[in-house]
Amino acid sequence: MVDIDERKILEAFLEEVKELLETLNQRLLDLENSPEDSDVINEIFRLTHSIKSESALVGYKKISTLAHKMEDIFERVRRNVLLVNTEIMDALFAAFDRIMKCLSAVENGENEEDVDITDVVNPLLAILDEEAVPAASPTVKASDLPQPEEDNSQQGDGTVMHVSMSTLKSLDVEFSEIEKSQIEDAIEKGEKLYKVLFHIEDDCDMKYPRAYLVFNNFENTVTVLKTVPDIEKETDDAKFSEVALYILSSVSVEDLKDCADVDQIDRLDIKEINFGGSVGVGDLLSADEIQKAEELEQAWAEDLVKQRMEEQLAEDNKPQAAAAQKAPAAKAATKAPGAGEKIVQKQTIRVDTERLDELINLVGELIINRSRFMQISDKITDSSSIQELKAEIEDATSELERISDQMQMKMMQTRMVPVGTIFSKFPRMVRDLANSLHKNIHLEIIGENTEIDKTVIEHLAEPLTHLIRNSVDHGVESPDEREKKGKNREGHVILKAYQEGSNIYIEVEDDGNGLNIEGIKNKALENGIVTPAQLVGMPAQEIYDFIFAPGFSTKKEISSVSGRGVGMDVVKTELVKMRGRIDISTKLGEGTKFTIVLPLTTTIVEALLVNVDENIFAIPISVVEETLKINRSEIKEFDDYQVYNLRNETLAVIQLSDLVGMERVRKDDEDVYIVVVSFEKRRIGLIVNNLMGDQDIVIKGLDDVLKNNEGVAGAAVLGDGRIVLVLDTSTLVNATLKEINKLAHDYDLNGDGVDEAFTLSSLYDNLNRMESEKNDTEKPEDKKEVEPEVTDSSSNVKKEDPASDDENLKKITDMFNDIRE
Amino acid sequence: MSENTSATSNNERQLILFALGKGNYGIPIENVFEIKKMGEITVVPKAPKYIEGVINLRGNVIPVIDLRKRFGMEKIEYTKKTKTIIVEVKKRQFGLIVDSVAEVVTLNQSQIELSLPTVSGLKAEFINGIGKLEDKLIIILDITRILQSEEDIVIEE
Repeated sequence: MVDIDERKILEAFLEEVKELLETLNQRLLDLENSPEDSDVINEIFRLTHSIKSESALVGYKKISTLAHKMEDIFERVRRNVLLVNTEIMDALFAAFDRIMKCLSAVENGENEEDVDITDVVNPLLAILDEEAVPAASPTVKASDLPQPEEDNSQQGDGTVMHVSMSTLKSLDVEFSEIEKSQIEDAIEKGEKLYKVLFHIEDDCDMKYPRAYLVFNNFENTVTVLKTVPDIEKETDDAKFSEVALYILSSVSVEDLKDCADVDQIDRLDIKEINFGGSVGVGDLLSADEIQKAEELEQAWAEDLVKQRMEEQLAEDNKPQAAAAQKAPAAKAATKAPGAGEKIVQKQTIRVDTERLDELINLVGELIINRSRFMQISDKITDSSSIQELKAEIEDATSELERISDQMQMKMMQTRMVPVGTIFSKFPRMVRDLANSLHKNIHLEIIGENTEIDKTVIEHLAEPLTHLIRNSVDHGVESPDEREKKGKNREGHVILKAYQEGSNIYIEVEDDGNGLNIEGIKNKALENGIVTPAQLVGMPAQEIYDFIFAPGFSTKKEISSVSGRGVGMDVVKTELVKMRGRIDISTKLGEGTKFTIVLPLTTTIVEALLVNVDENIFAIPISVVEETLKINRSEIKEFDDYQVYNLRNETLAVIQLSDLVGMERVRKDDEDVYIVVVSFEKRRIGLIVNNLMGDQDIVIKGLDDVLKNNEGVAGAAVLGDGRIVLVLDTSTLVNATLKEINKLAHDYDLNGDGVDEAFTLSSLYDNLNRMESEKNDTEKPEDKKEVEPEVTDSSSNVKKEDPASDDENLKKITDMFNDIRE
Repeated sequence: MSENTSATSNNERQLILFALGKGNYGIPIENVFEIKKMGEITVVPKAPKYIEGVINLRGNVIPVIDLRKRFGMEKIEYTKKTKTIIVEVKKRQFGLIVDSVAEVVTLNQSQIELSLPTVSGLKAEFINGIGKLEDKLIIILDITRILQSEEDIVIEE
């Protein structure tokens, strides 16, 4: 196990290098667009240099080797002796990817040394005209990589170091990684490495102090890297008859000699260690190298295909994963062993110090506010007037409210990170994908500074990758096809983020072919997602939504039809998990736009608190459309299926206690509230006993043993310490509507499919008719006597016990008979 | 389980003793976080049947398990003696409702015999051993196993 300090260093390293790599990725892409921009080249040079030094410092040889070679290339590009071309770009990208792979190996607690880099380092070496390295250790899968031809260099350990490093190796002294990078830094600055060898007279009595004197002189003038023997550790005179100093300096040899001008030194030898600057200029690439680059490109393409297959595989495994989740204890048991093997990456976040300062200020205000409350509490004992105290408490409370509101907001902001952190990987993805598909696509990124909660952003990467890949793969047409349609040969994909109110919008828009509605219809029918009857008169929007249906993407290749659907259900599930949604707008032949809508933060939520019997539930206010106070008798029901006539619209309503699986304690005739919640344009009404107002709550996850209740998203602690359960409305609404559909199907004897809307409206018509009939014929009768009975009898009783039948029930049964016909 | 036996290094084990029905049970002290009086329990619908609900432990929401229910014993009214033992297992906290909590005892390894299922009325996998203290028998529970198992555990008294 890595010890704490090492881990801390590692964490800092990972964070630092990741940031560098992110910028590097960006700059490499910039370079591809403007291969001669010296600012970009210089920055890449600096970045690769930093990555090299950082990784050398913590001892990651493979990463530093790769970065080093990249740096070498840019050192030449900088001097205008090497021109960037596609082959070089590809080699650079391949090296970049391998660095990422090494990093993830490090993060997963694997050995970085086990990552084979020969296949990506050799093209770099070829560009540099350096000798290839052998395809190293047999433990790695060298077999499926292009084997480099013969090679004579005997670097048996498989690591590749810079020329300078091999020069260093030839010296009879070992340099540490830190020293090595120090040397490189110095040489870049134009300094030279010297070996200063001096001998102290044999009859000198105090050799160590003499040697130290010399050392001290050098130390004051130049950088002393190393002394042999180590003057800081050894003090034994006998060892110091001959001393070697390795120094970095830009002063003349004469000045160096002066430093060694000490009594009793009888021999002095100052030698510059030359790194053989005769590095050849690779102006033209040999056929061999081109072939190598092509092989590399092919490997890259294969990688991409493999990656996609893996993703497909992962999707196929989804149902199993879902099944596994149903056994939480079993899951926990399997999770337990092996935990702790990975280096658990601590989640860190960088916060603008200004934001922290603001928070500190608020904490200061909070403390002042606290003392104010303490003062008030002192006054209470002094029997001052209630009125006065009341006014003061009110005042102090409103101050507290202001402070805590602001603190909440600021604190939330500290969790916010710009979406650019995930957007930055997409240009590269689009480039590679477009190349492999022989398409010409420009990705435009707008609003990358839009900030969003860190936890949200982590879950956003995957859905966005899917969407963008779909746009590139299936949305945008081939250049020829585009030309035929009179479009620009270059396709356009726009990735745009912006904030509106308390929501973040992220759009992925392409100017491609658009969604083919007929194709989707056929596909949906084929996969049994929808029945022909249901399709009749279905709005286009709902048809487009089928691409998110789980069954839709089961077929492997869809490109011939609508082209969309790869993992779209996964996209949607991910987003819904974050309480977000996704909308589609498309026009055939002109393009498609996906709009993701996400809440700013997921942890603090404004919620409506409702009572169900003794229990309190919280419903996120964002889904609440309205609340109504009604009498239970106004709800019509059949089986578990209850409807309410809301301003002449039929609203499916359900007892919240039924929905979450609680026992129903119901009184006959009582006033209840309906909370109308909507989810993706579908509405249902939740029947609750009472409303308790709205409040900001902090959602806490429940332990795994309680995870099997899908309708509960978590719990929150109220100000008085009571716990409320937070409802997961999307799941609830979907579950309810599914129930209703099932019910409708149960009554659908002809089997040609009953549309939910159809059932609801028929039901509604019948209810209306019933209502008017009742008004006509039963007006004089005692209405109150009839209605409570309807509500009082629970559904099952009604069905099985004809004794409780009344006229109303008969009508409802008739009504369902109508539906059957 | 290694984490339950960590106190055996010096051949002694400290146990929190509690009563459930007629039996005396012990939980290794290193698993016990604190002991609380019964407070308000919020019911979580559709939870496993032995889970009473959740409680608020200083702002954290943790599940509580009625050990009587977990062991298939008859339910009794909560009294003043009824306590919730908060245990921590693999970084997860749980509350265990027990009839009463007696004391903390230190048992020498020689006072502990390895599982005798017939004595405990519990499957061997759910116990860590039987302790003998004067004339009392103490069933030492393997709390990790009990919490992770989904199977119905029945104590035959």
